[in-house]
Amino acid sequence: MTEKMWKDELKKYLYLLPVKEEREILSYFDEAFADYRDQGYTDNEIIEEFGDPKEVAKSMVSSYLDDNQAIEEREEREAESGTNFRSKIKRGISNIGKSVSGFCDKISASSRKKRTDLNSEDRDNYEREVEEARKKQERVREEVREEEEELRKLKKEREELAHENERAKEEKMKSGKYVEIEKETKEKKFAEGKPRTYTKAERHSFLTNLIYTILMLAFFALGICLAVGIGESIFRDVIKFANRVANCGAWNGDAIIMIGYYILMISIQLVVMGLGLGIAVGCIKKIYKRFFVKKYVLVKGK
Amino acid sequence: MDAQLKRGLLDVCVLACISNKESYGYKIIHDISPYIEMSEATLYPILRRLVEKGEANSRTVEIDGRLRKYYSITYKGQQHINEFIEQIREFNQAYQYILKSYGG
Repeated sequence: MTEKMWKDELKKYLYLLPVKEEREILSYFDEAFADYRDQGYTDNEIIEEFGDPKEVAKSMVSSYLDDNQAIEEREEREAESGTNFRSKIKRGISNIGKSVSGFCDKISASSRKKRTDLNSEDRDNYEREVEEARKKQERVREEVREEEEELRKLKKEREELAHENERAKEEKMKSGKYVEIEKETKEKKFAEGKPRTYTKAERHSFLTNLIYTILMLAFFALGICLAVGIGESIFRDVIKFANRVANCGAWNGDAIIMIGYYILMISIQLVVMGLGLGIAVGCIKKIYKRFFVKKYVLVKGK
Repeated sequence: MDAQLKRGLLDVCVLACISNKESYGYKIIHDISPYIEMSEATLYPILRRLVEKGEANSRTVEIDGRLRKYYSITYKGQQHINEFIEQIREFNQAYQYILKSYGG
């Protein structure tokens, strides 16, 4: 068997998947073949390593189907728990998208089913085997999920208990008894290699941080200049407006046009000034977040 | 090995393998296989699942005229490993107890 024969055989059994997924799998094996060959493997050795293409296809198809089902189940569960308006709209949009793409996948799968070289008996057998494999995976997944849920529940209970203890301790700490013990546990936790958090700045080089800060400060200055400049112009317009209203002899059409003009001009300028202030505040917020908000968790020792 | 245990374990092994430096299919298998059984057919679904869950990122790079997909860990993936380590630590206490009681 050559590489091409193995891949053709694999492709024959992938017809149950969407075209995009099939392409991904084939390119994955293209890469794998090339990598193994680079390491000095012959075609026969590689094929022996990869195994029967039908079995490979079966595992690919069944795991894809099971993963998709898992995603659907998870989304359903999330939908049941989340009832706010935004999540409903999000779900509605994603459902429309999904039904369109699902419809296209079905059409393409059925047309490829007809085109595949397998005869109908082989096809039925194969599909039955895939379904069995999928069910097996589903069972395992379900068991894992149940166990995880139980663990989560236990953890929550334990956290609640710890929280209560913490509160009790805090009360005692007020009397000054527990300060030493607190310090000790912190040191112990660090020695055990508890995860610690980093700010974004700590994870980047000095130069990157410097450039980032300079850029942000430049934008901040720009925003402030914009806001101050426009602010001054608004101030002048308001004074002019007041003067003209005071000197206005008769309330005719011209006067109304004049009032309308000034209101329009001042409101446009107010919007631009708001924009400038927004930019300035945004930049300062970004700098603050980068240097002071701890977010990135890394295991100690890395 | 128990199918349940292995499923979670393999995901974390792959995450750990790409946690220090981005890696690709062949290298991941050869880094992991001395410790736990892993084949091309089992790795692909794991990588796809990790990318789908947002625990890993992938990027395609051209090397010697052909394409290679590199995988790297995300913040969410690191959290997954941390949770797993926590669980294993608890598990280890029970294991030590079993060894002590049964072996001693």
